[in-house]
Amino acid sequence: MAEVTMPRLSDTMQEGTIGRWLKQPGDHVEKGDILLEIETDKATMEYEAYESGTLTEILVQAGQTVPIGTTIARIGEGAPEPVAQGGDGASPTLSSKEPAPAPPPPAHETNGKPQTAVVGSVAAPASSERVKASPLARRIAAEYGIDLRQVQGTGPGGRIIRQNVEDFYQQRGEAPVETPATGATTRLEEGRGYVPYPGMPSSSPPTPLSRMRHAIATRMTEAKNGIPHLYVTSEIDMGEALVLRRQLNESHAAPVKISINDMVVKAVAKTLREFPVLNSSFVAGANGKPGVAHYERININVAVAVEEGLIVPVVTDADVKSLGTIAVEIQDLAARTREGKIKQSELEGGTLTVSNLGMYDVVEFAAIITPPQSAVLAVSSIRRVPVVRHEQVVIGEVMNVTLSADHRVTDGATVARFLQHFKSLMEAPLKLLV
Amino acid sequence: MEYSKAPTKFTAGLLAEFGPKRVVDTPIAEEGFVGLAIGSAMLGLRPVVEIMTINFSLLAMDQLVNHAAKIHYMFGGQAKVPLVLRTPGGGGQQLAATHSQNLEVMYAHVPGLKVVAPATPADARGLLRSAIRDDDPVIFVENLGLYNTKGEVPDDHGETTIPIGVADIKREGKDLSLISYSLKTVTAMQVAEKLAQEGISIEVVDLRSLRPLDRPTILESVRKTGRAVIIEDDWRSYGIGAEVAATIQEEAFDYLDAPVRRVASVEVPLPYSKVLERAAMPDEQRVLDAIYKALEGTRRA
Repeated sequence: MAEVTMPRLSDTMQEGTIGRWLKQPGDHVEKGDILLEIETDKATMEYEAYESGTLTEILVQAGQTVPIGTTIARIGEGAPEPVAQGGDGASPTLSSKEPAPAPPPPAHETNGKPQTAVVGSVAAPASSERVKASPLARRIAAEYGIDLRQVQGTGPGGRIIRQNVEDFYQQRGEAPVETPATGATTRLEEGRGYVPYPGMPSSSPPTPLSRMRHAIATRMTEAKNGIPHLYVTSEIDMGEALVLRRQLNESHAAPVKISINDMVVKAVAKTLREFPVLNSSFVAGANGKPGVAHYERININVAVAVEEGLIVPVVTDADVKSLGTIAVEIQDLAARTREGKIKQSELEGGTLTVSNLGMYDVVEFAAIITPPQSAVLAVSSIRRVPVVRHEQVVIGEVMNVTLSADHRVTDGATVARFLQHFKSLMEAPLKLLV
Repeated sequence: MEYSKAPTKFTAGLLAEFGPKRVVDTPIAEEGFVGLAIGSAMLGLRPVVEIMTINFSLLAMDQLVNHAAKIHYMFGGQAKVPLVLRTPGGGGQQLAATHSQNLEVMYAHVPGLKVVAPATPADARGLLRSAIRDDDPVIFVENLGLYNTKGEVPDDHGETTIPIGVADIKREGKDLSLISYSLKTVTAMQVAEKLAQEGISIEVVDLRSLRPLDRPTILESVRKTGRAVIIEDDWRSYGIGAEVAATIQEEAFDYLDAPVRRVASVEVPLPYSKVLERAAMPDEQRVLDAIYKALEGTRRA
């Protein structure tokens, strides 16, 4: 009997959601067969069987989310065993992708009954399942007054560890720790311990975050709290760039149409080659002393909006690739991202991010740095505005870009010179072709 | 020693410097010469006995455990036994099962003995001085794999000592305490350096003394990091790691974020075959595996 566990599919992955099972209990499985699809915070991936045999049981159903390492199925040699419905060993750690108030009810008397508990009471809800938590997590939870049943564990077998409690505490943020008026019941069944903000009008119960929303929330909070951002904005005359783009596209110079964003990616990569300080990560080095690690390769993340959020696939070595190659790659990456077919490896290794809201008629915006990168370039729309050329006011095409940089790594003057260089490339874009 | 050209060359030059009255070669009769040393210690000398490897000290076990460790207590404190027994243990030299053991735990188990096991030249010198000056019998455990170690020692005209019973934080960190002694401290430092590249901050606690064990330093480290992995060259069952792990769970339970893990030798008489020998000993990869396991679920992992 072999256990299939939720795999770690990326460095940052802590839990995964079952997309769908491609094999059903009773099916014969050959080593290498695709067993299921797993959704991580970034991508959907196929997962192969490592053993041959019969899929005897599925412990975690499609749509449910479990920490890595949790047993999700078993592959045996003989005939399938009766299919367990949720309540098996793995269930205490389950949470559903859809609003999931509590672990899936065990298949006995509590099924169907609403689960309520008196606020502030430590008494267990209907389920008496033991919460697995490390001693340290228990102690910190007690200090913070956190009910461990609300915390999702990412340790082995779903054990709650210190980090989970601290993350939970941070995410709870300013919400009052105290319980509302006595006699009220928790709204666990709707919103996992939701406590409304005092003084605000009544609201709908909170919708649980999607995997991606959750990942974005965590990463961006971490970035905005942890990285001292500095912002410098530059205005770029895009006249020449638009002319060049038209010429390239009219002459079918590349297999696909070149976009302004492709040119931005190329220009920012070339600029990074001149300013390696921004192609870096602020790190805790040896003995915990901080330092700056520089990267030799220049890999640009390109933000792609998708239905629930955004995904940022990577164009590797953008400084040495031709504009045409970059255009082809970005188009391919974006298409596969929107289809959910992007590979995890194509989302990793970026050293700077370009976020482009040009298509939304945006004058200017600033982006949040994606850790562990040191900078992000926010690209706004090209607007037809009056500009001064040769002492004449004429209609020009202007695009604003804002670079957000990690102030621990560099300073405003360097960022300004970075943008100057970037601007010189965009305004004389033939330089992008050599 | 000088006459027999001791293979470890540890005593090279001593005879020329101190003469045949203070530097004495003996027949290979461990119980006899250890007994002799105990008697001379009781009468006021401070003998330093070298046994070529710890494996042969088994022949002197009765002298060490039943006499050296107990005389001070059984005779109402009338005599003390300021004996030092230097002896290397350790495998990895393809010396096969009977010549590759880490038996320090046998001595560390016995009240009345002190056991030290340094990892660096500076600690070795400082602890050897303390051992010679100590009024109790001290088993000074060396490791064959450490004999070619080079390292800084303070230029101090013979005055720096390292106190017995004091562990040393060889590297500060915040994610996990990696606890080791003797040769395994070298491994610990290498692993810590490697993991620092991945952003994992390892604190290396070098025990240095096995009895008395510096429990406060161990506990302070684990209370800070919440996680501990112990590496030892001895066998896992009833080993040094077992004692350290038990101490941690007794005294720092509420600070633990993961079970304490041990990386030790596979429980077999150590094979002669190089391949099998390597497979049986705790290497860097097994330490890394244990650390990743202990960090499971954190962003560090």
